[in-house]
Amino acid sequence: MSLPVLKVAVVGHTNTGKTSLLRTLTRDAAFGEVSNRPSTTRHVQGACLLVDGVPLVELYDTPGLEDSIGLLEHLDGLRVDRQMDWIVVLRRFLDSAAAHGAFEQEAKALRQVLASDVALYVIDVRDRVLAKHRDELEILGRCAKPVVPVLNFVVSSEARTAQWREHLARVNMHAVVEFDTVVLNENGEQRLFEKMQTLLDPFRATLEAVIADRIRHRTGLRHAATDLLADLFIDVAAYRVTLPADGRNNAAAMESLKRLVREREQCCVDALLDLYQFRPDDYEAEALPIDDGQWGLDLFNPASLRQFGIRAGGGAAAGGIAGLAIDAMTGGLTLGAAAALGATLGALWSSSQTHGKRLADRARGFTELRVNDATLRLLAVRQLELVQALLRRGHASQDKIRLKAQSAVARKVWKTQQLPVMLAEAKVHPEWSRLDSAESAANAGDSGRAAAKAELAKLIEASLREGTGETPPAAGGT
Amino acid sequence: MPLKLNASEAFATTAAQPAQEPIGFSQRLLAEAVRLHEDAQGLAGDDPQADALARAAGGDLERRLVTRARALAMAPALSVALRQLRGASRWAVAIGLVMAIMAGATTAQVALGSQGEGPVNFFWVLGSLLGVHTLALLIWLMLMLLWPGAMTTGSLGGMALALGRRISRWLHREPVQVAAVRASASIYARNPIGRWTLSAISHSLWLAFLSGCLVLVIFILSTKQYTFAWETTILSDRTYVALTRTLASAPAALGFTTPTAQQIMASHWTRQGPVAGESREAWSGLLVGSLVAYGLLPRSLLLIFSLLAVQRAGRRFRLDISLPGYARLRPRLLPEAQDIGIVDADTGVANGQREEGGGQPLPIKAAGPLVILGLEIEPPQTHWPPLLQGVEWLDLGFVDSRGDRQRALEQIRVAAIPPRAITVVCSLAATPDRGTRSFIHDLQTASHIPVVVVLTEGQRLRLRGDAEQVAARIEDWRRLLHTTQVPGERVIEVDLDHLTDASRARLASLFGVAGLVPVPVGRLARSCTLIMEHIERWPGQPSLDEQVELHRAIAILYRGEGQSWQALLRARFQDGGNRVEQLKVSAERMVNLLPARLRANPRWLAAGAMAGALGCVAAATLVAPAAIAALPAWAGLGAALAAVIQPSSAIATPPVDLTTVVRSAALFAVLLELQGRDEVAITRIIDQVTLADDAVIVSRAAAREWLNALQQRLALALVAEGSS
Repeated sequence: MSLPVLKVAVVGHTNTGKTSLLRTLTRDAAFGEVSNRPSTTRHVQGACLLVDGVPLVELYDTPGLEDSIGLLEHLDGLRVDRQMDWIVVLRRFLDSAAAHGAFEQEAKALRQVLASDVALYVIDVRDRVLAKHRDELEILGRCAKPVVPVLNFVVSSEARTAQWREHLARVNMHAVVEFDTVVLNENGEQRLFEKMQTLLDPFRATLEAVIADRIRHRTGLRHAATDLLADLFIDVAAYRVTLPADGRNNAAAMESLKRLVREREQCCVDALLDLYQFRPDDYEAEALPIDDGQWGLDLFNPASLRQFGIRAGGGAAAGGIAGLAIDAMTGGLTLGAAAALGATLGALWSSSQTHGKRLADRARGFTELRVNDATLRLLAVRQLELVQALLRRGHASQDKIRLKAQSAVARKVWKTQQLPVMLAEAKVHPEWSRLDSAESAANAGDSGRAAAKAELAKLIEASLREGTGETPPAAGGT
Repeated sequence: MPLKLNASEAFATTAAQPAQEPIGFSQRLLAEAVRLHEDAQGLAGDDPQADALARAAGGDLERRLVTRARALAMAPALSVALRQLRGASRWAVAIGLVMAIMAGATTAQVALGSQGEGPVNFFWVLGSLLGVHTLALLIWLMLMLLWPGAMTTGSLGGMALALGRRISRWLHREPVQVAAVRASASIYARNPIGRWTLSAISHSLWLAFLSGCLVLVIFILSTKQYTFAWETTILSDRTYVALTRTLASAPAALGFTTPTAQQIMASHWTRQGPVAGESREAWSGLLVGSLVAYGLLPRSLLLIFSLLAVQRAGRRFRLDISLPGYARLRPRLLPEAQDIGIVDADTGVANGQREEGGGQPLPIKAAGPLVILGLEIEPPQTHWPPLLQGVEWLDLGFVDSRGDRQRALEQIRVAAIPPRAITVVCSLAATPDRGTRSFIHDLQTASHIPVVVVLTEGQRLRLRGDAEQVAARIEDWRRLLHTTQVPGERVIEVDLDHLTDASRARLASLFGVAGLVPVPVGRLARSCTLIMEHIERWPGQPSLDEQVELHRAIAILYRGEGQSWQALLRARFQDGGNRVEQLKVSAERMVNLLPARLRANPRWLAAGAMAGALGCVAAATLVAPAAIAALPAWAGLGAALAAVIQPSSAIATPPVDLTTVVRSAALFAVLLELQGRDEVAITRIIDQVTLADDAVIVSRAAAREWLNALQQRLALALVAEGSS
């Protein structure tokens, strides 16, 4: 069963952000042309929104309305007969010479409105409510199509949102949407579609499909992000370098470990940015905690720990190596005998080779070098912050402040409380780390790792949800 | 990134969706292998053609992923690897089956042969043949019902798979092989298909074992003669008979002859004697029957069931599209939007109509009232109409709607004395549009009186963005009005909310109002005097407090326009905030206002930064005089200031000496004098005022000379500015 395609005309006074609105809805930064000059858009350009490859909503960007006062006067002039229907007057106007001359831009916009199912009237709330806006709404009203006012630039300090809402209410428009096209607002997008649903009954199903698809997409992105994080945490927590007892090549080994971990973190950051289609230009508008695609402070720099408020932890390893810890190879005995037994048995079944070697090394007095707990915390906290900032892209700036506070609380868990059990488990399974060789990479198909990763991903997702204040979805959701 | 398909392509995609054939398990497996390969090897294999094919295939994301996987260059190699893996597993299972048959045969032989001469303990044989199998079956049942997930790691089949994996890894090290192995392993490990496959393998191995047993049992029973007996220590005879009868019920149902109660009783080991052939037959029947009924039959049924379950799981298997390896492909394969293109092109006619302009502007007469009206603005914060010496305004008020406009035109038409110019005040923060243009056009043509346009609210626009925007906006207004015969010089930017002497003068110059001294520089002279006074007072190198004092004294002179220059410097010095940040912001603002060549000079750079930072502090002390008393308590201020100045020099830290202090104070004073203008103008004037002198000021006399020269240059620059 195919759903009816909804045609939407985006109209408004010149330079109010109509093209920006289309760019935001289509996620295409290259649509049309945006500038602060008047009459940037001079033609009608369309784009359609696809759900599962099927176009369901067609959006049309129109030239700005500039001379509404003049146009209204002209239309009033055309209405020779009091009985004449306004639609007839409009059609007569659109066929006349004026529509291709002085009022060409307005004519294009109106023609598109008449050919569409609904009009989005974009308003720059920094502007005053003036007579020309009243006249614009008057003309739009005569087109006999539902109109949804969209308030743009609501986050600006100059915004006169209340005045605009009052004015719109007076002309009987109550389904108003606040949508700042500069601050990418996914929740606002959902509200926009929902408001359109209230005005357009025949297209209810179509809009429902679009909303559902967008929600699915968002959730899918979140899952993917948590998966990436869980992978990163396990890889880093499990990674071990064996150091010979006599201390040869220690410095080189440490440097090598740090390098691998840094590269792995950067890999994760790149993948996250790619996932969220983050473009280099977006760095200006967004307040991401990273600079130009990279973390400003090095993972192993003590200043980074301070920046995130994580304590370096007592008992620095011998020689004060930042970020690393040296263990005598305990073979997991620190976790308790039961875990060690389990680990040994598991090891006997799966990777007797590696474990046998480890036991042998222990007998020979080797030590292991790994990333210490404080650095693991730092890694977790700052990656979580990055993902949260990317998720926050869906919220206007007032919400952002509240969300930052909430997410700070959620991150506290990672900062102060015990590290999750799965990470402790990972420490006992160095073969889970994919950082050292292709051999381990092959082993990573291991179901033990997969199970731990799944658990960890759930935990991360719960932290993220806490941070954005959402309630977990009901079981059996999309 | 949505894609640009032209209109016909777009409709083609929607019109006919090809009949969607179902996707097979092996195709999904290939897609998984591709994902894992990309995961390990990087994304070099991304192929736009494959993406295009996937998009053309239509359907949901999973279908497109599968299509893409098939179309990639690495696909054949991966398919081969997967096939090899399947082949290897099959070989492993086949070997296992053969071994199982042999094991079964051996067990049967051992079980029957171990008895030596004499009667064979029936239940012992039965136990050794069926015992382990039954135990395994029960364990399997328990696991399947209670703990499905654990199947894949512990059981017999699990070991077989792990072995197969290990062998495969041993033989092949290439990434393609590795990806294939990983893909299979991960899917089988986490999916019902895994445990059902393993179950099937288990059952088939056991079936083979039992078949081997059966064959050999039949063979042995056919070729040797056995007497079956039974013995017991704790069970009574009757119980035993009952148990045996119960045991025999299933084989009997299948048609095997089973011992009757008497035959059972007769077979007790103590009762030796000639055993009837039927008794022997019956017991063998029971043995074979039990093997079939409790061994082969359940196992074959379960095997068939497992195979069916494997099929079903294979059909129901779906790719997990929330994995990052797939999620990143979504925007490419299943774009959220596509371009329709231009529907109603611009003919350029309207544009042509706009460009008409030129022609002679109407001259402004020497006498007559000046009409002023505000177009689409609110009354400004300063007096309306703006106070100008020697100007009498004919105020027409604020015009907005059609009715207002008609009324204004009417009032001008019926004015007693024809006005010499009409001043239309518009908002710079608004975008110039054709409605405004047509009104101004009407004003000029209807009344034949020249129009002058004043653009106010420039501050609002500045707060929104950068200086470029403001200049561009003024340019837009000029261009628009050019088509109505209002020349560029009659369009000026004067912010009526923040009217300064300088801006008033510019306004007045529009009308050529005589009697006004262009640009009084009185206050700058007073600033310079202040600087000299302070220098006299300082013993040597001025301390931080003294520098702040000086800047504050200068700031007091311009207290009236406080809002304006503080906004210019973004000076928002709040208590409890990050001092360094706040000072930095102001310092950067000041530095940005300096012309490029000064910024290249580290001393000037430091002077600029200091002017900005200390200006910020001065602003704070203006607001809260009590803060001055707390000045010495601002312990962090010195460090903050140093932090602000430090980074501005790339080469070396310039010493904060008298030169820098004097320059910073002078820059501050000049900035306060110039505020109200747009930033490009400020930078221009500063450029003219400061020669590229790197003169070091060591004495008071030198300072005085330098300041005098500065004032002269400023006066010249302002005159040049005013006349341009």
